[in-house]
Amino acid sequence: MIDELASTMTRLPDPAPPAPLAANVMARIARLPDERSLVTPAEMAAVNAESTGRERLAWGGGLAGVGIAFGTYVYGELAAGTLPDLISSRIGHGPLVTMPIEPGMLVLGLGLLLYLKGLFTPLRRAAHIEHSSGGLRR
Amino acid sequence: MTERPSDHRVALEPESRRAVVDPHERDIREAVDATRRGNRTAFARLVQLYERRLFSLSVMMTRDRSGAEEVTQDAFVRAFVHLDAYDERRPFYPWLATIAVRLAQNWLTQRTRISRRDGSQLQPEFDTASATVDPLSELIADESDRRLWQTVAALPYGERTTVILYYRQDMAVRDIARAMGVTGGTVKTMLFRARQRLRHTVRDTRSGKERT
Repeated sequence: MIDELASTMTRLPDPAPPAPLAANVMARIARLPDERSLVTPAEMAAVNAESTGRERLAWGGGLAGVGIAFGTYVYGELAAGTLPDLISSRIGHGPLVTMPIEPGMLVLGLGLLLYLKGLFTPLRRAAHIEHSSGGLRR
Repeated sequence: MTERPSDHRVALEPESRRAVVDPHERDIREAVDATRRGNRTAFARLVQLYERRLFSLSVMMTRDRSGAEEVTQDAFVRAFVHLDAYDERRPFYPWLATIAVRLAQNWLTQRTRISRRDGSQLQPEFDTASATVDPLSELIADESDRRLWQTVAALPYGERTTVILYYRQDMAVRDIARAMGVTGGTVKTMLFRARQRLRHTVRDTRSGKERT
């Protein structure tokens, strides 16, 4: 029975497709936005490499900012001689010493700025990619 | 002798079907590579190679000529757009047929909704097109062959699709399962049920041919 069904199904005629079917398909394809030819794999790799480099720079900047801020704080505390004694039981009972306002504060501010820049870089990059792909679609 | 599902499963999926090699494999690979590199006209080769086969599948699925044309066109366009998703280690046609099967399914569902909304006679799910004139029946000269096709066309959607893909499109059970989004076991079960339903018609077809 399998053979009979198979042979009958094989014998069935193939309806001829409408003459303009292939032309219509190719016309529709021609009207599609040209994403493939605009971005070649090599270009995409270059964009990715550039993005990775920018990302590393931002991370480095952020970490440097944190390092500078921490270093400035520790330096200020050391200079004022008020570094808390972490071992003694008097933590929290000593006099409150604020960091003196001096050029070190500027460095601290700069470090914070670098940190914030690094913090928001991924968002700006996402916005950049979105903008780029939107541009390609058009 | 009664047929058991296990017998049927053994009889199914001959070795030759598991490793169907497309005679146009080299052409296909070249066309796919060129299209991926941005040469749109290279896709025309793929359209030329599979236009007839895919249209035939769409006619059998939708049983409507204009619906089949729509499905075929959409399938090619979608294949072009998603060509990057095609895995070159697999044959091209089952991937293309998968797109067409799903589009045909959507087309039939949409048609069913429209006919229900318009208040026409309710049809079983995916079977709205059975009310229209079947374009394939008109082409079949042999009376018994036509009767067999009409019986196949009247099968429930899943069984009909598996019979068409397996017996007519020479697709492997694994590829049919992927196209329909079911397991291989479900495909085998649907084929078994379809063959049970078709048994009498096939027998009549055979005896009719023996008489002539």
